[in-house]
Amino acid sequence: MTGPQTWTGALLIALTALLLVSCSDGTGEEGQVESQATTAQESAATDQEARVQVVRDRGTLGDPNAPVVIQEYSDFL
Amino acid sequence: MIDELIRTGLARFEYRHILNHGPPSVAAALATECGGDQGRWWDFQDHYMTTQDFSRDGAVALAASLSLDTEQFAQCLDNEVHLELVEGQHRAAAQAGFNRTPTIRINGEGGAVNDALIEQVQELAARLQAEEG
Repeated sequence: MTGPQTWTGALLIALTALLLVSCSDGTGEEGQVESQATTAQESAATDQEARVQVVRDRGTLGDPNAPVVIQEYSDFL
Repeated sequence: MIDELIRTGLARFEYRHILNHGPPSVAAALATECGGDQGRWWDFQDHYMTTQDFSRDGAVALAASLSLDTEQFAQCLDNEVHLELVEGQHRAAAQAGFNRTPTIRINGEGGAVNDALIEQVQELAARLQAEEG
């Protein structure tokens, strides 16, 4: 009798452990979906930033591909 | 407003040297370009706009305070490495008739800074934003 009880107990412990692990670190299905959504948002934000490059270079400032070019002809006096 | 246009990617700003005030204009333009060689063009522009100190010592001191290679910077100044660049920009501006400072051009059009110019930028920004939306 002790054999089947031991196996059942061990199985329950293993399943509980698996459930706890999947819930705690977000590797369950829900966690994966959430993680993928977060990654997609981060990727979109990165893409948006990449489209708007505020490049600060010698005498120029802004996205090299900007549709409007504002030129200032001046001296420092 | 121009900052907003730049930040949102609608506009890019470009500075062109005009040397209307002789040696101080040339000295400032050359030092700014020498600073640009080491990635600090805008620090020199800020320096000249705020201090109006156009001396060589002042430029070298600024280079040192920015932790630039001062030997390279001084050589750049003394050898007038960027003279052709800054004089070329000045000549091009003069040939185009831009003798007042500052003169602003927006996509090749415009003139001195005034209400009409600001209105032009606002209209252009609104049109571009509408096209994007």
